[in-house]
Amino acid sequence: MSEVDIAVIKPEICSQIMKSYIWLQTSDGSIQQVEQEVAMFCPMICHEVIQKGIGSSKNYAISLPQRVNSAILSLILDYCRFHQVAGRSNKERKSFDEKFIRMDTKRLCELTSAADSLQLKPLVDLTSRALARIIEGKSPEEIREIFHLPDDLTEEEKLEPLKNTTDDPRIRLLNRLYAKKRKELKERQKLKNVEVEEERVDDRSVDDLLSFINGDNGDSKGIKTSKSKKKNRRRKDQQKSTSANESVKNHYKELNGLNSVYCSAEVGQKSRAGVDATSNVHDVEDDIFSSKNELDDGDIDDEIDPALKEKIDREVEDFARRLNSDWPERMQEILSFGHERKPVHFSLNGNGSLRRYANSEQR
Amino acid sequence: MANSPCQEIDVSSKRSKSSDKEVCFDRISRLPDVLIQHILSFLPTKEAMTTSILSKRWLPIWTSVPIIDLQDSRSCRTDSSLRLRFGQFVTRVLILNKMACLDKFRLEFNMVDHPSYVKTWFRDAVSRDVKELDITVHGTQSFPILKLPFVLFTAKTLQVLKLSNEVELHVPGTVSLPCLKVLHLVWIKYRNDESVSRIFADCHVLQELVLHIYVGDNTTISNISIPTLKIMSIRFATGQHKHQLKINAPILEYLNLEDNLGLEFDLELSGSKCIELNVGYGGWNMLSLFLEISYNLQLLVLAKNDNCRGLGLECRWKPPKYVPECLLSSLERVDFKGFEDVAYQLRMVKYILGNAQVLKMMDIFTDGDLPLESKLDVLKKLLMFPRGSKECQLHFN
Repeated sequence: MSEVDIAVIKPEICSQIMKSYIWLQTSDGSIQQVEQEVAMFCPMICHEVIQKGIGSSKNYAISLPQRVNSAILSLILDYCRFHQVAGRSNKERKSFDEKFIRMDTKRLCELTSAADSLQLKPLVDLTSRALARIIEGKSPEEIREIFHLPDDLTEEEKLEPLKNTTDDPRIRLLNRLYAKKRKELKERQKLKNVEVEEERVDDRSVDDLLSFINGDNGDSKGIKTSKSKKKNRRRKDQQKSTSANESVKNHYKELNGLNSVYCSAEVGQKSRAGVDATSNVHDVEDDIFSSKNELDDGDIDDEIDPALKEKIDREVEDFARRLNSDWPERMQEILSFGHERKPVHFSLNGNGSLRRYANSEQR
Repeated sequence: MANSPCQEIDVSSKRSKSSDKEVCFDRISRLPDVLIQHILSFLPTKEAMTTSILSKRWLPIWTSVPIIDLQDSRSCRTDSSLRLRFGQFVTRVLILNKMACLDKFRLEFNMVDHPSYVKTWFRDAVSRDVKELDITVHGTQSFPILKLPFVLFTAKTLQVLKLSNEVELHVPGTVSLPCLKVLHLVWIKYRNDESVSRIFADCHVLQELVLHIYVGDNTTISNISIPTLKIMSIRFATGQHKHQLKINAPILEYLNLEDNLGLEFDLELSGSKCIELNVGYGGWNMLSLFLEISYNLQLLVLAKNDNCRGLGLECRWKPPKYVPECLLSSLERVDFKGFEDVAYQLRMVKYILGNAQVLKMMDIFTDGDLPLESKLDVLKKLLMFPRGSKECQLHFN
C-alpha cells in the first residue's frame, strides 16, 4: 500500500497527528488542549499565540481571562468549532445560532461577558441580541424578577433618572440667577440688621402668594389647562411639571419653599419633601411610564418652539427681577413656613444653586 | 461598579446551597457598562429608556447608547396633539442622550405640525457625526411632505442614508457625502430629474443603492451613474408613465429590477454577476436585453409579479438576435420562480437551456396550485429540451 492509501484508510489517526493544539488555562485552574483552528477563531487567543508565542504546550498554556470558566469555555468552543468551518451557508449558521442561544439568562450573561473578554464579537452580538429580546416588551417588575435586579431606587429617583439637569440652557440660566441673587443677599445681610428683617414679616395669605406666582408666571393658559389635566391623570403619585414655564416655576418654588404650599393648594395632595428637582426631565418620566402604552397622556403644553422660548426667557428675567426686589421677605417666608411642616434646611449645591433638604424619610 | 445590595444577597446566599446563590445573583448588572449599552442598542429607544428605573446601576445607562430609534404610534396619524407630543419627546430624547457620536438615528413618524423641530433633529444628528440615518415620514393633511434640510447633504460621517415615503429630496448646490456607502430612496418625491443624479455625482464610495420609484414623483429619467456601485435594487411602481432608466455601473455585481412601467433602458452593466428580474407590466423583453448586455452574468433569477397577470402584454418575448455572450461563457445558474405552463415561458426556458454552454443548474419553481399531473407534464416537456451544457441539471419544485 502506498502512503496515500494509508491516509485514506485511517483518516482520523492521520488528522490527529497532523493537527496542532493550543493549550488553554481557565480561571478555575484547569488546563485543556483545543484544536488550533477552533481556538484561533477567538481574536484574544489568536493574539496571544501570535504576539507572545505561548499556548503550544501544557507548561505555556494561555491564561484565559477571569470571566471564562471551564463550562463557559466549552460553550464558546462549540460555537467556534461550528463557525470556523468556511463552507457553511448563512442559513445553516443562523439555524445553529438559534439553537445555541437557548439557555437560561444566567448562562447568557456569563457567556456575553466571557465572549467579550475573548473579543469574539459575533458571539457577543448574538448573546446581546438574545438578552435584548428578553428585556423587550416586559414591565420593569418582570425584568427585575428575571435578572434578580435589586429594586434600590427611591420613588423620587425613579422620577428623575438624571442628576445632571443643568444641561438645559434654561436651567443653567436659572442657576446663574440664583447665584447672583445669593451673592446680593449675602451683601445685604452684611449691611442690614437682622432684627430689622424680622420685623418685615410678610403676612400675605397663601392665596395671595399663589396668585402672585400664578399671575407672574405669564402664559396662564398653559399652566391652568395643564393643571386641570393633571387631576385627570391616571398616573401614580408625584406632581408633574408639564411645560417649560412649569419647570421654570418649579425651580423658583424650590427656592422659595412655597413648594409644599403650592402643591397642596393646587393638586390637593401633600408634596413629597425633596421630590422637586423638577425639570424637563420630568416629562421624560411621563414618557417612560407610559411607553409601554405608546405615548403618554401628560404633556401638552411644553413648547420648545423658538419664539415661545424667547417669551419664556423674558418671563424668567422678569420674575428674576421681582425676586430680586422682595428677596429678604421671601427668605423669611421660607423659614417660617418650613417650620410648620417639616424641618427644612438649605445648603448649597456644588454649582452654587440652593437646594432644600428635608427628612431622609421620603415615602 | 459593585452594587452593594447585590453583594449582600451574594453573601447571605453563600450560606445556603450553591444552587440558591446562582438563582438569586444579579448577574447582568455585573456586565461592564459598554456591554449593557450594547444590549440596549438592540432595543427601540423607548424600551431602552424604561430600563432606567430598574435599579441604581441601570439609571444612567440608556443615555449612553449611541443609537436612537424612535417610532410614533398609529393614532398620531389623525391626532395633531399626539404628533406634537411625539415631536417634543424626540427633542427631549436628543437632549438627554449624552453621546457625542451617534451610530444610528432611526425615526418613523407622522409629520409634526412644526417642521422646524424636525430640522433641528437632523442638525443635531449631523453635528453628532451620525453614521446611519433612517427616516420614514408619513405626511398629514397640514404637512403632506417633509423637505429635507440641506445640512443632511454635507454630513461628513454619514455612511448609510435611508429615506422613505413623504420626503422631498431637494439637493443643494454643494453636496458632500464622502462616506456614504448605502443609499435607500423608497417612494420619495424629487424636486426634479437632476436631484438624484446630483447626489450620485458626489458620492464617491457608494456601494449599495435601493431605489423605489412611483409615478408622480417628478422624475421622468432615472440617471444612475455610479462607478463604485456593487449592489442595486430598483423597483418601479405601476402606472401610466414614460420613464427612462439609465444605468452606468460598470462594477455592479448584483441587480434586482422590478419594472411595472414599461421602461426605456439605457444600460451599461458589463460587470454584473447576478441579476434578478421581476417582471411586471413591462413585459419579458427586458430578459433578452439583460442577457445581451451582461457579459459576465453568472446567476439569473426570473420572477413574475402580480401586476403581470392577465395583461397579456408580457406574453411577447423575442429572443436576442445573436446568442448572448453570457450564455456562452459565464451563466452557471438560472432560477425561474412562478413558472407557468404557457408557450412563451416554455420558449424562454428552451432557449436558455439550448444555448447555455456552461450552465450547471436550472431551478424551476411553479406555483403551488398546479395539480400533480400537470406538474408531471411540464416536467416531461422540460426534460425533453436539448441542453447546450452537458453538466446541466434541471430541478423542478
